[in-house]
Amino acid sequence: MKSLLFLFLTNLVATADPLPAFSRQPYVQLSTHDSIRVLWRARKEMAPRLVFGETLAELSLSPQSILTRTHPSLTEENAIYKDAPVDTRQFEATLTGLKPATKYYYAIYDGQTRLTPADPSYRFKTNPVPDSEVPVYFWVVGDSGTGGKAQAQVHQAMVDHTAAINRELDLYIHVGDMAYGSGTNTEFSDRFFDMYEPTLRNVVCWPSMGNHEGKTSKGATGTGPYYDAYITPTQAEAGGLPSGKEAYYSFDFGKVHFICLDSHDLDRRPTGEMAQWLKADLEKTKADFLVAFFHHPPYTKGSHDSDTEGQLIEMREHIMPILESGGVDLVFTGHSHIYERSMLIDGAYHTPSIPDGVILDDGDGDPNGDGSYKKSAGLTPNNGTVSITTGHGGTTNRRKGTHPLMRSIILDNGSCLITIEGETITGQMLNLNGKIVDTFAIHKSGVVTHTPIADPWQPASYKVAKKVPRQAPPRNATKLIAKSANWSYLAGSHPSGSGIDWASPSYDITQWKIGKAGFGYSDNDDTTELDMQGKFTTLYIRREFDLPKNANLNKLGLSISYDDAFILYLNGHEVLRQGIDKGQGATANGFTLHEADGKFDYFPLKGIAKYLKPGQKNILAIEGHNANLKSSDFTLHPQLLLRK
Amino acid sequence: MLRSPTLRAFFAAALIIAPLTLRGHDDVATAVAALTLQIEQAPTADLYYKRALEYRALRKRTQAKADLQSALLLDPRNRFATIALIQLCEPGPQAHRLIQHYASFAQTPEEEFEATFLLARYYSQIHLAPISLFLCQGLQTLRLDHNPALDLLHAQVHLDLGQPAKAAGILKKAWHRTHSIVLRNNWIDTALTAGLTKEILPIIQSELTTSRFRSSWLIRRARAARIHQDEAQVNKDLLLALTELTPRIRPAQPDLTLIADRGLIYALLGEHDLAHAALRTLRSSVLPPSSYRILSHHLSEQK
Repeated sequence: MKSLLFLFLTNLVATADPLPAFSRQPYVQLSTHDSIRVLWRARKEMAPRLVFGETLAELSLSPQSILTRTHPSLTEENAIYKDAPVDTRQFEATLTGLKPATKYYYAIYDGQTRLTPADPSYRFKTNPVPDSEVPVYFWVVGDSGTGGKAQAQVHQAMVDHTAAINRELDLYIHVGDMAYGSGTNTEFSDRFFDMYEPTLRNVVCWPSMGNHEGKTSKGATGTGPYYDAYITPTQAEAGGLPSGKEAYYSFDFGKVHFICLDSHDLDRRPTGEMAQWLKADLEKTKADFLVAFFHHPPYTKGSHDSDTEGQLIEMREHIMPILESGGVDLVFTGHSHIYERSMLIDGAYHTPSIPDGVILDDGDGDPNGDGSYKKSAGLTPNNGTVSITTGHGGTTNRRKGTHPLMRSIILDNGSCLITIEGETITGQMLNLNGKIVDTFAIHKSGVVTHTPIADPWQPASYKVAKKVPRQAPPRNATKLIAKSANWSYLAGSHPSGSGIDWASPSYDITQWKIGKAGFGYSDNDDTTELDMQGKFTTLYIRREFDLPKNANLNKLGLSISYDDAFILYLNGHEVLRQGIDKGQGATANGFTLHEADGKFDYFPLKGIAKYLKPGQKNILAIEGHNANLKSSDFTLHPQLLLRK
Repeated sequence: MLRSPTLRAFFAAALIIAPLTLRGHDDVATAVAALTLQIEQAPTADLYYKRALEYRALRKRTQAKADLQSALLLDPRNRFATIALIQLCEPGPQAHRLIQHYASFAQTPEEEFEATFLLARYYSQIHLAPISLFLCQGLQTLRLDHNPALDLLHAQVHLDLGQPAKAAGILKKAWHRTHSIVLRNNWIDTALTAGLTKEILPIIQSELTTSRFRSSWLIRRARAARIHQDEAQVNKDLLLALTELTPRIRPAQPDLTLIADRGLIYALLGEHDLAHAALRTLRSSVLPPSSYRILSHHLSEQK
């Protein structure tokens, strides 16, 4: 019982010390080039006052108005949703007449009592004048709202990264599922506002509604805790065309046009109100870059499957054609708990998704790899889209299979950081450990004409691992090769020679390095750390061992901690493979993911007597494989045991 | 330490379940399996409703409807299950019965508004426009919300009754109230159907000078020009629109809204075969007939 309680409590991690005067700490919303809103909540009557100015020392300006909203039992007009405590007050200050692209500091008072400290983090920056040439740097998060440790780590990784590169966010996009399980008032406070508080006080979060928020909030009427929490543009306050609804909207930031759609509870047909607005909005914008975001992904094989689920199919079949004929560059979604980033695609509206005739560039898009994707300058219809499922912001990740349009598939919590500067969009996936594990860029210049690739690159197939119980190593065994033994290893290249020559006793390994097991990176279980991530996926190790003359060869077994897959050879003969369908070395394929989790699995070795030489030196060789070049970790740590 | 074994069991279960709920929504098949297990143990209307939503997500309408009916057997006044079932029903006696059932227990003004709106939409769908109009007029006087859906339905019913000027009046008023661009554009299109151009021409001109893609505005100006019998302007605008539109249409997987636009261009140009081909494409698509009403209207007029 104690361990269960510990598990439960450690799952909930607070990230900031809240100021006691507030039941929801101050945060900014709906920034434009000349206005912004600052919101906060308290559980008591208050004489709300906000002052602001361009320096922290001189906060001499006052907002145009401060709206006070209360529980519906206290008021009929502008009431907040009924699930908030009855004594809740939500204050919404509207600050107008601001200078564009200018940083302001603010303080909140109750009458004469200052509630926020004199801290420069209580600030905001207005948007630049629409259509101005300024870089944009923004953060994209999805499916984060657990209030748990992974969510906090993903946030902290972003905070540390932006501090390290000395760059402030211009805006924050959330693609939905920000307050599990039903988007209630309490869940919003605990699992969104408290978790991101230091960021929300000075960066505007532009939201889209997830299915979990949809359990309490309704897009058609704009009511519920979600619509209380956010103020989104209904009248084109920040650019774009008026939608008349908070559920879907657009805004401009410099040369970038952002579009938010509600994929959850509104008509997704091409002639629904939302799609009519979208079409009109796309006809109007003259931005150079176009970013769309919504919750349900058109392409995914993560925890959800875009080939079988209605909302996902409809967004792909009905909405993607409108977005792509409008020239969209990036599409961010969530819902599926995974990071999946596509190649440069266009016209991928079939169900099920197929790669034929829809992939315009099958490279990795990495400027330091296959090179950036290329598009024409400005917004050009059907010139290529990168679609990103970023539903990995805090909850447990899952994978069902391999989506054929994806170039990067990562089962790791994290978020996306996007820079749009000059002619280039650069996207990075930052994992919860602060590592950039995927990078792509889109360079938009001149006129680029694409022809779909006839036989495009395809991601490796994926099988869901069968949940077979792990067999623990026997306790009573002679260690023919012990834990942490020294091994010869080859990392970063494949062995010379053909096939599995390298595993035979006569193979020359004098140029191989010597290292102590385990081998790998990133999961704190490795003695010989390897710089593999993003560089190579295969490690070769081999070692001699003495086999006792009278050994019972039926009792030989391999104990191994591994991530993801391996092939075992004895004296040059394959005797065991785990997690690899076909091939070996450079040709190995059909991987099944496996996490080491700091544990050893035991595999009895059968039918091997013919390959072994009792009373002599024998060679054990293993090739270890990571299923993905960008995988977050790798482990290979074998022992050879002889049961007594 | 809790003394009651029952409480201890509940506490232990809560400790296990609480972190799981924080994982968020599982894949749909897993959610269905978990809900099925719970339903087998202790069925409730809420569990049936939740499983129905999962089936709906998987496009399994039959199972979804069966679960919603089970939910209503356990809780006949379950608003969410009732509305979800109405949405899954084709317009017909079952939908009518369900809407009447919803109206029988709707209590708040919002619920009464919703039930009446569903009924108005139902009568519109089964082509009883006069009854739908009566209900829409009643709802407009209530003004419980400013949902443009009512204005769009109200206008649609007037169009069904051959009263485009009245439809345009409703949409214009609604646009002024909400500033929704969808209402404004619907007003412009409906005003053109009614032959009214005075108020909308300045807007069309303005949009033509400020829009990136101009084809839909060129079509509207061409329609206005035809009302004013300026055939030179009609042809000029339509050819310009066609030039802009064609490269935006992928032959294999087109944006259907652009097929509707191009079909209208062909219809206005008198290219009947091409216009009918576009109409056939649209009729075989997921689009409701209201989305290509103007194209249908022009082709029927030309007959």
